[in-house]
Amino acid sequence: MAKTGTDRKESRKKERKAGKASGQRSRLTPFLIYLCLGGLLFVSPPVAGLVFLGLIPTFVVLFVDTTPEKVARLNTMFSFNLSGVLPYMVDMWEKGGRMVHLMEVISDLVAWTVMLGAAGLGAATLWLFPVLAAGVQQILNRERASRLEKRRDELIDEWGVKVTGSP
Amino acid sequence: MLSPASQNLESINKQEEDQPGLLDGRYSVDLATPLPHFDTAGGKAYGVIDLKDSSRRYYALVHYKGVPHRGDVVAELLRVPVTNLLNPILQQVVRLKAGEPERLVTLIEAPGGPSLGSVLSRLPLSGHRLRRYVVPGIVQALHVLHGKGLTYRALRPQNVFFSSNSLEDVVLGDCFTAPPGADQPAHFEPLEKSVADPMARGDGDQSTDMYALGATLLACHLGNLSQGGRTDEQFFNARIAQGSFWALAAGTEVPGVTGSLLRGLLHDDVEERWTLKETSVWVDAAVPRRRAVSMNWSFARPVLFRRLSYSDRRLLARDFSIYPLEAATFLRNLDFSHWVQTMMITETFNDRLESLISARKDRDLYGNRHGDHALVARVCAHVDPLGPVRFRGLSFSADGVGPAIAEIFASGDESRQNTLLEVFDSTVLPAIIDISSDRNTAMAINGPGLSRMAHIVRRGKGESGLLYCLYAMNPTLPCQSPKLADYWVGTPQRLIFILDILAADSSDLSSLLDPHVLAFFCARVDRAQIFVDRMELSRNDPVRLMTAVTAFLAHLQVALNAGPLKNLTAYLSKSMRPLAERLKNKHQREDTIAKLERLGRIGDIQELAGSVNLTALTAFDMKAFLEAEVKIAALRQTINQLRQPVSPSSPSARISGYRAAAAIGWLVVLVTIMALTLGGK
Repeated sequence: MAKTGTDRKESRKKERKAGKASGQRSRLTPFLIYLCLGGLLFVSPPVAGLVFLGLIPTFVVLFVDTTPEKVARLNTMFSFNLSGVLPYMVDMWEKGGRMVHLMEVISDLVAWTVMLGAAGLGAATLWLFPVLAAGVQQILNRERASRLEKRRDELIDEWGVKVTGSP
Repeated sequence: MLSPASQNLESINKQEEDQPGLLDGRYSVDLATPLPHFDTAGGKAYGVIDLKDSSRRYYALVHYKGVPHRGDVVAELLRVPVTNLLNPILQQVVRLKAGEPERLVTLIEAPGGPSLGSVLSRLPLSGHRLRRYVVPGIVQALHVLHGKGLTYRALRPQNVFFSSNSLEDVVLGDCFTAPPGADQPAHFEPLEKSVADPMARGDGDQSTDMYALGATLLACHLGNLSQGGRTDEQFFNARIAQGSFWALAAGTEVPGVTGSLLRGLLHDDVEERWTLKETSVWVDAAVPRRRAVSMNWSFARPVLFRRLSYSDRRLLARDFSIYPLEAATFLRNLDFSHWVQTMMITETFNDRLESLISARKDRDLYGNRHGDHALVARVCAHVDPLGPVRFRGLSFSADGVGPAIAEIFASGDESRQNTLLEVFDSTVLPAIIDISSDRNTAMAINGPGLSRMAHIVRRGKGESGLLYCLYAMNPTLPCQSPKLADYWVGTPQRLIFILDILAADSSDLSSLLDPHVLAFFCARVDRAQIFVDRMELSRNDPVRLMTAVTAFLAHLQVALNAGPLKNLTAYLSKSMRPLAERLKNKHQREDTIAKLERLGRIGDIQELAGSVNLTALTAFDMKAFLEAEVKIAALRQTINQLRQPVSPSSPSARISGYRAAAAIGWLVVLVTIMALTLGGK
């Protein structure tokens, strides 16, 4: 059915509200990241350095991604990336968090593989999950369509074939 | 709960079917013995055999279907019989022969002696016999009738009977089986009634009976009373010119006290005419004296119309009505207001009368010259206010409109029916009522009722309005519907019962509810008109019409306490079924049809009308159908959308996928933190 003028206005309002909320969230997330990094820079600059280097894939997404789903993508990338960086951060923190420890990690190929591999895994998830979601949605839609068809058939049975508009 | 009133009617009917021609189980109508001297305008008379008591003598009057009788008089005489009068014994609807249509029969006491008329044909009665036997007997009967507020209206020598062959006491004959005055020769009617159509003379008042008494007594004195070979017109002229007494006496002087009596009774001025009181004084051997101011019927100077000179207003009014188009031309060429004021100087002609009569010089633009005829009728009412309403050949007294309508319908003359319609036009009867009410007592009394009838006819109902008047103004007239030719239906209770019988064999209910039947119910059942109006408004919509018909019959069933009407209910149920089958909703349709089948067997139309309101059901069904159509269209659209393949690049799949990925990511973070925590320990 065609939307009336009032309906359109309301939907636009809703979109604007939703956009505002997501914009706030998208501004809030980098702000929190910056805050954490800034705090960490004061507490332990070498750890902060590790975080900065280890989270480079996340920063790429943060600055490059312009899609409407940026927040969800950033969340995914950050969470996977973080889970790769976190073991080295904790290890460094426990060792005292000096610059020499940072240099050890930077020079460790395995450490880079783990940190960037985790980010890669995040990127793979970002590619795979929409495909999975589409498949699941397809199945759910089919079930809902069957339910609606049953309801439609009941209505036709109650009102006759003419209710469908056919002569 | 419905009472079994119709069952009583049914049992009565059954009894009639078993014994045709038998009244009340004992009086057998002898069709082989017609009694023409008892015939009236309302029916034919036959001999009667009393199966239980052969010493009593009766005769039966078999009523004509199209002629109303005087129901109020019959009811009163059945309740309290009057001495010196042949009273009705009973009235019953019977079939005189098996297979013949039903007829209303009135059983009446038969006289013991000959009629005054037949005795007079042999010899005139002496003054002594008149004073001793005839006058007291008649006066006594009239006294009782007038005391009951009734008039006799049938006093003539042929209808006064001696109670035995000794020719002493007299009794008055039947006065109730025909409209008042219908059987009277014109010269037994006072001037103002004599020019009205016989059926339309009206109840009149006591003075009308007194005039007829005078004419009857004059006939006794002279041996007979006739118009002397003169036409009605000539005789009317003579009565105007000489006075009724001299015109009737044809120059014969009646000397002494009998002359005083006859001159008093036959006075043309109602105010001067003797009353019963004065006649009683005369019987007691005294001569009363009275004087009253009489109406001046003379013009100030003679009026010339059709090269004839008229001095009397009543004569001019009569001739205006005989030559209406010439009269209209005559009137339009006058300065009417000036003419009336100079010719009728004894009466005031005010602005109200001038606007009511509205005698303008403009030519009549109606194709049928209605304007001219109406103008003449109004002028006649002003010139002769006591005379009848005269319009296009119709002539009726204000109190005789009902029988006049009945007579016109019974004649089946469509042109007279159309004329009757025109009578109720605002420029005719309503105007005449206003013009003559202050000078004509009968018009003043009957005016409001006639105005109401005129309003009903003018409300755009045409013939149905006239039919309403027919039944409302003739309470004893049976329903004249052609469908009821086999029945005598005098009451709405009986009509609904007969309709129930006819519905068993009829294929079309609308033909049963014809204009006569509807008008009969409207005139005699409270609030029936409202339902008939609804039916009229629903004429083009079968569903609304059927609902209106059901509501109408339900109202009748309750209002008339008619009991179960199984055939009508079954018929309605059967007629409503195809309409119920048109309902689009399956459940609603099946429920309604089931209800119709169940209620169709019960016979309670009220229940049927209350439970199955097809109009409301159809409206609701249509609304719900449109809503269902919209719902189905929306469902179709949604299903089509849901059946489309979902692409991974679709916004919904992407957002869902990313959200799921983010959730997995944070789960991994959580697992990592837990692993680090547990590994540290």
